[in-house]
Amino acid sequence: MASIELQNVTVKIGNNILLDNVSLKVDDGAYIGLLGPSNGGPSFVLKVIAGLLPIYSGKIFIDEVDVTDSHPEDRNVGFIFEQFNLFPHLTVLDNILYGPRVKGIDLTTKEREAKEVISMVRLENRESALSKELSGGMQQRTGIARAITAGAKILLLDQPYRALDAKIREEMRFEIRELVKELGMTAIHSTHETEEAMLTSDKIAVFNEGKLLQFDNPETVYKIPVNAFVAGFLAESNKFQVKVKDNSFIIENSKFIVDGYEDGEYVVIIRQIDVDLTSEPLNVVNEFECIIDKIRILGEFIRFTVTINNSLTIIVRELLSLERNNVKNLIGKRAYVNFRPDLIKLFLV
Amino acid sequence: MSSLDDIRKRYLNFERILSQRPIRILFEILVIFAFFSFVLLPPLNLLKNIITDWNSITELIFRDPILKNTVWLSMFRSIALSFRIAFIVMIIDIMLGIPIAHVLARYDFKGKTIIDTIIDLPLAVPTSALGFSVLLFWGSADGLSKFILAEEGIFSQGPMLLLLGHVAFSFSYVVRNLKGVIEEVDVEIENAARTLGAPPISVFRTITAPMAKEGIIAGAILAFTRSLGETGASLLLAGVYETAPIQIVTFMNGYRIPQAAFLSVILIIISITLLGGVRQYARKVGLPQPKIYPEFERKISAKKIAKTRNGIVSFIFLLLVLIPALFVIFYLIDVWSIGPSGTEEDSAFFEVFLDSDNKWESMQVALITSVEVALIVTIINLSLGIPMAYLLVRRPYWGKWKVVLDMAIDIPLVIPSSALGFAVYLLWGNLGLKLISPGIWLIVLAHLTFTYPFSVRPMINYIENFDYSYYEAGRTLGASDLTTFRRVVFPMLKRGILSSAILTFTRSMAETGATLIVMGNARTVPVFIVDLVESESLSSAAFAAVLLIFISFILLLVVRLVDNPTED
Repeated sequence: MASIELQNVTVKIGNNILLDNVSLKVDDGAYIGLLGPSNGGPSFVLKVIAGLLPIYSGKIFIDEVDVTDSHPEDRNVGFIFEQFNLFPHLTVLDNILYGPRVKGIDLTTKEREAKEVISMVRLENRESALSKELSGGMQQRTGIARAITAGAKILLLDQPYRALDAKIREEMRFEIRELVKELGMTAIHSTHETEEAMLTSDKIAVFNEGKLLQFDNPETVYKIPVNAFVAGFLAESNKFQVKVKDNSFIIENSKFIVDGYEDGEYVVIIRQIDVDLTSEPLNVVNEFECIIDKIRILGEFIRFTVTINNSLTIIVRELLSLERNNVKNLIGKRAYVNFRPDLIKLFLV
Repeated sequence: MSSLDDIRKRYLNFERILSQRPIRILFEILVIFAFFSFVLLPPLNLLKNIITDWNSITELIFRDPILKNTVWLSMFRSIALSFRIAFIVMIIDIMLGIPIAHVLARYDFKGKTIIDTIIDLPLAVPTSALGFSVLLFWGSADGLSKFILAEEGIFSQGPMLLLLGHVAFSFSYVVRNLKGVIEEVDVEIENAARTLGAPPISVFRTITAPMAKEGIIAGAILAFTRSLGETGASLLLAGVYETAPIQIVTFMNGYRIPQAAFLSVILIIISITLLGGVRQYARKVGLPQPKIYPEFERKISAKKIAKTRNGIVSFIFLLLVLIPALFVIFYLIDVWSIGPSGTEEDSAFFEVFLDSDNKWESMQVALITSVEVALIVTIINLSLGIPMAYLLVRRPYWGKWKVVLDMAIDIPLVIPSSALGFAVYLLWGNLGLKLISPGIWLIVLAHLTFTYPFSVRPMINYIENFDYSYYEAGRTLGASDLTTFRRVVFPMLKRGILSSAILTFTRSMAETGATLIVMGNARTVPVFIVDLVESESLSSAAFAAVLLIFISFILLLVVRLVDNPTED
């Protein structure tokens, strides 16, 4: 019962374009992730939907009703802020009951509903606490309970877990998605972390410099990015600019074979995780001998910096496997890298 | 070159020695001692005098053989008048101030900077100049009456004019304060309330106002105390009525010391009790959640009504504050070559430059005195104020003393300046320590007291906002405490120090009440204006007032430039 549509929305502050002709349709009950760098667009889309940011041109519909000119208080959306923004002078319960109070709704029935919501977000026993007495995670849960009790059918989550510790962030990602689905709400969630968007969303919209670049399900966005920015933003990558001729290109004296590209200038994106590093040659296409220059252990991954033909530097990411002991001993050793042609992503300049 | 290096090394070493804890604490004790003796001692000494002479003083005031208790009755009347006016002024200031401050703090619109500056204009106008201007506008046939074709001034001198004058000079202080207070409430929290369904009026009542509660109450106290303590404008507007500060001046002029002392003490005690009480109340008492009228509040939040509301408020501001405050400029233009009587004899130009009594010369002397006093006061107070502010923010070992000091700093703010002036006279003058007789140095001592909070308070703010990690970085790189202060902290606080300095300077330049008590034969410009008005030389008074407005306005511009260096 809550769909959202943006039609050609542009937002300007002075000469600064924050959103550039964005059109986006969100179906009822969907959980959408907006992915992009900070100030790249995601947060502005949320503010525009909530009516907190005036638009320069375009139209916004909520449930097929034009709300372009209506005030934030009339849009019935729940906004979840990065900094939580609980009312510091009110208790948890009073924060949660704020919506019904300002709307003049009878509080006696609402109070029971609020209690239910409070147990849903696991805040029992903290009802009379002030926000400064709560942890970040609890504050954000209160914020969500507050939005739900105010009668929101749409939840706009603006980098909601950014201010939280990694562990709590992980928990909340699942917990809140499930809650939203259970209540049948529509949610739009902005973030600049690929993992968070992938984990929580039914569909992902990728933004950069105010433009909507791609809007599709997470798998498609990851596997078939529409341009070099999307390809590079979703995972750490090696990036080059090349000339393709007869289905091959040369970087620093190394020749790569690709398949199905016309001749022309391209940007090449090769994700670090897509490069295969072996100690013995496999004799496959696009295989090169290389020297391992640097090794960084990142946790579940190891990052190798290797040089091909003494001139081409490539970064490779491999899972940290248990078989390899003392990985650091590999520095300076000879190895082999190969690039699967279908994992080399080329985009016309 | 090497000898220069040597000197530098020695200097740094010297700073290292001075940074040692015992020396630092000794210095800080000196700073506190100076604060105590310059600022707190005069009122305390006054209190002591009253207590020791209690019997003779009360006899004089309550049981005089001839006058009976008439002195007390007239004191009571003047105190009651002062409080009534201060109370109404406070209500008007807050009622008008909140909407204006809210618009200035929250909305961006064309010409905002201009309006912002216009609101601040009366800040720059010394109260006696402003009082004169208000008198001309509301109280003379050349003011508003001219436009509505009345023969006489709309109000005659008395409570109504006092009220109008006090609103005119206190309003800008209050708006400035409230604006800062509202700005401190995070817009995002207001946004949160909007998305939960609250229209702007409800947001203000349920979120902004409760969060800014302490600041709003502080603004109200400011309005109240500014009105209660004002002398310069009141002298010109009161006519036959007497406010409490005026009565102190009257007692002083008649050399009726015990009466002046008694009245001063009453004012000081009431002011401090009120301030302390209200502050304590504001901090502790949580207001109940206001009742909300959703339909009604939604309606009056509508754009059209909001615009009308802002329009009405702006009109009232123009009529009550801005035009009366600056009317003297138009008046001066009017009487520049041909005076109010229609001849050249009482034109401003003739009176000031050509008349036999050489007003231009005495004006220059007064101006020089004013500037001298203000400069000395600014320098002394900054050298005392910066260490004090630093001590209060950054020296945890002073513990409980800090709380006491922090409250004591504000005491001069709430005491009427004429009472403070009297206390200074009683302590240092020929009835007390006999160190300094009335004149420029006693003026300096008096001004030191009431400008002290103006130099310390903003500094505290600036130091609190200063990122302490810069200091820590300096220390870890090997500089001593004092060297770090000189090379890192001080340069980063320069802007704050400058705006503190200008605030102190303008406060001193504008002061009338305290100066009247301690000036002896010396004259400052605000006092000079009062003299001119009382001797009916209105054209020259207008000239002096405009001169003072002009100087203060320039200073105000400098403050604004210093405060917003990047604002375009």
